[in-house]
Amino acid sequence: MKPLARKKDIIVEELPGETVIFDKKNNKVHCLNSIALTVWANANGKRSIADLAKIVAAESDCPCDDAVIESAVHQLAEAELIEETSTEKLLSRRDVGRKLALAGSCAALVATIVAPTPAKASSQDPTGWHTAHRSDGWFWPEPTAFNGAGKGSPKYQFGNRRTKRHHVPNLRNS
Amino acid sequence: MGGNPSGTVELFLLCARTGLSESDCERIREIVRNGPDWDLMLSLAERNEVMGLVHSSLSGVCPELLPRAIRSRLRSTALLYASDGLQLTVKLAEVLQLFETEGIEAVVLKGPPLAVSLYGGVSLRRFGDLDILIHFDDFSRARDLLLRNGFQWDGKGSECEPGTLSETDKHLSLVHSTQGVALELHWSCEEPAARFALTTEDVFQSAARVLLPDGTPARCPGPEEQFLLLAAHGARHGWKHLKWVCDIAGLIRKRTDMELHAVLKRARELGCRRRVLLALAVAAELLGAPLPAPVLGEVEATRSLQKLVIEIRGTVTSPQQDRPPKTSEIAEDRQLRFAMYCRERAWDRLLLAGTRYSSSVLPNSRDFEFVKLPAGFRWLYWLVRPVRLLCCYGLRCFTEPSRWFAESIRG
Repeated sequence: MKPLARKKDIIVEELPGETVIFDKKNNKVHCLNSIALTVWANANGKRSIADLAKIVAAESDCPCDDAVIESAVHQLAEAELIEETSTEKLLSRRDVGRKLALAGSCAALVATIVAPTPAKASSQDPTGWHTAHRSDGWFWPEPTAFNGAGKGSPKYQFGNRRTKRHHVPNLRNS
Repeated sequence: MGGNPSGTVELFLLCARTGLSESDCERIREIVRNGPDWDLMLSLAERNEVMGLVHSSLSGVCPELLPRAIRSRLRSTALLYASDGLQLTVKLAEVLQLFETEGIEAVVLKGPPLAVSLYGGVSLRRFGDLDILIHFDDFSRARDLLLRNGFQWDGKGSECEPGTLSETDKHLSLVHSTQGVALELHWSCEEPAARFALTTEDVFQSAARVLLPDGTPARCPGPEEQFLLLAAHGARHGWKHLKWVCDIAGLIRKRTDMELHAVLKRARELGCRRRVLLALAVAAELLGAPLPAPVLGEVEATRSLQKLVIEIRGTVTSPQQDRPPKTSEIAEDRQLRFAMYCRERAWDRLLLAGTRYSSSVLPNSRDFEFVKLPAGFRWLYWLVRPVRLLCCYGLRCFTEPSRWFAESIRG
């Protein structure tokens, strides 16, 4: 398998220790740790899992098991950050989990949420209350352990329930 | 969570700096080791919307010293900033593309281009809406284009119809009906009452190109114009958020080619020297922005600024209470006092007072909503307004005149 990263309709933003990827296609935000990012950045459709493991090992300065890379590719594919055609020969989720367990590693690599609606500007929020309290009920999942939760499961599909949309009067009917 | 409040405030202000020196880093480590009041620290960072900077500074300087819960909360909010910033960037790119297709010139005030050019990314600078400046001649076309593409009037400020725009309006507030993205379409840099003579043409002429994170080119004001706009904006809102001070400090640090004494000279010509001096004073005092000696001398010579700087410091570093009642009223009064203080000419002060007081009797968009009158009967809104205010506020007009006044200015 030679995974190919999807780079179209993607915006990347660096944060300390991790990278945020916004997928314009489905309005999802993905948070990649350094291993997942290295895999995604180097998955050009020509490199095998073993090649990617070597690159990750070189960048992180410690050996990297192929199972971790497979897990990363699997999670990236679930997040639709790897082209479908390049992941045809992916192992099943159960197989990857078994391999990881044998390798003694727990791959916490990619976390995904549906992007919540942006907050209104602070100049319209004199006390800063709305902005400050917006994050109270908001929880960003830590990159999850490989536990079988897949696309569509609640773990991957939640936003901020407390965020309200702006009131939009319908002028045309008034 | 206990801790030393003064050390916490110092830590907060240090972490909000865009450029940290070795001594700053050492001081941050020292305060973190001594155990700051994390609740206060995070509350200040959230309220001042500098969580991205605080997260970046603490994660860069002493990640190993941060309690796990604090690290997690910082990270969550930083990711929220990044998520918002990226969504707004995408929407901005779409809008700019639409404008380009229709041949509408646009300059982006603040927002993603400012975040990219001053902070290096959209996750470090919080912004909740998009501010786009256009020529007034293009207003109708731009508005119609946005309305056709999912935006609606947000129910505040000026209404969509040009006939209902009052002379004091400077922008139209829109919001995307499905994505909730707020957008302000500006045709003027400031309200006429602000006595800020920087014109739209000045901004367009100075505009520089910035690449957004998705590769879309956007135009943003040149550094001098950006500085003047940020100084005027901060003064208009009483510098109640530290992030605006961060913008000024960031601009001073980043744009070393910008000559501050030239900015001051231009500000004097434009009638906003005091606002610029205040911006410089606040940035130097709170965030240690490096000012050239002549400029620093001029700031220090303006002794009347010191009182305002102390007040701003108190505002941005005061512990957060829960949403207090009548806050908007207090904010309105404070803003008016700030605005008064920032006018340097007696005539400008008189005009400001006149505009503020006249706005309690001038019909506005809410009166236009209250009763729909045909175009020929628009003069009747002068009568509609007192009736509407009486309906809304009732006897409070007589029993609490000051509160009514503050509310009537807004409504």
